[in-house]
Amino acid sequence: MTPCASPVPFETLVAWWTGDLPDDEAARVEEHVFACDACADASARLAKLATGVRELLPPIISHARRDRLVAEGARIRVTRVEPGVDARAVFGHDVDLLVHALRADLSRAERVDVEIVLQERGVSTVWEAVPFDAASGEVLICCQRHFRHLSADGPVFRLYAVEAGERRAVGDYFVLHIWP
Amino acid sequence: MVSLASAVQSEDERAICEKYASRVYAYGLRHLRDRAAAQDLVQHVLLAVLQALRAGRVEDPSRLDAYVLGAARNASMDMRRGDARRRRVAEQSAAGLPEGYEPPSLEVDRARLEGCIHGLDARDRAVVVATFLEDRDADEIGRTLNLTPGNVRVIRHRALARLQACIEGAAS
Repeated sequence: MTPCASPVPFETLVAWWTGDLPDDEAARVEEHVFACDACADASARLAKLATGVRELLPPIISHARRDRLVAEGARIRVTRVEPGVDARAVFGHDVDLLVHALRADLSRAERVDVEIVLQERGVSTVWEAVPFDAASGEVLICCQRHFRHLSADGPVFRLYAVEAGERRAVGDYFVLHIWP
Repeated sequence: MVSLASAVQSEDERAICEKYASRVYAYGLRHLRDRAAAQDLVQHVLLAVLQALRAGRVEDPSRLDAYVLGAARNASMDMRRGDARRRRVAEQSAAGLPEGYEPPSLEVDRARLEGCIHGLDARDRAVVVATFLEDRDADEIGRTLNLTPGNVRVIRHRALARLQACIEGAAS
């Protein structure tokens, strides 16, 4: 591959991809990329990554995303879950996705974070600023079949709300997952 | 029997397809935001370029890069306007490409990508998810996370660089 004398910086490629460049600069980037082997390769690698991320189904989804999944034919079983009250959900062969609707008063929330705690492994992952519906007071956890290997019974979902700039713990939610 | 001239032409055309397919595909993914549409764009553009070369309509073959980009821009605009005829055009195009041409895929290992996203810091993950899965711009993300748009952009490109290193490190 021919090396590039003036490679497009990665941050500029990202800005091109996300539509953050002015039109004239975006056009210059495209002209360079089409003429340069090294930058074309960098662009293709970024396209691969960005498209891969865009096609993922994250563990917390918006109500609009749930509706789109249903419209596309996904078979979804919804379980309503209250804080501190154990729920159970069967991931049967007749469903593609489990959706757990974590319920709380989110009417004053500016932002909601979810911590997913895998107790058996002693690890947790925080998802900041997740989609939530203030009117219905719901955060939707989207459980996919391949998550089974992460936790046999199911993780604990710990909800936090940011209200008037203060972050408060809303509650812990547990759904026992049954995998027939 | 295949003549030497047509064999050479076919070889040249295959080289052109190999050179430009992934460029046009990346361009299509960016502007059309759909794999199938981007694949259709690649086929359509490559055939248009080969037909123009065969007919001597490319005035300056040394500037073929610009010609291909122009064809990609025009075709993607057409495709955004008329999705219904897109598939038909692409099917016609596929039949005219050189034998042995393999369309680009740019597929990522999804399980690996999920693992790499889990490995990001919470803030990096929030910015990446909001950008690519929720289609939110830097201003909106900044308001939610109490960051300036400039900060969001810096976090975003650094997080993507980390993700790329994670994915490609695993692949090598």
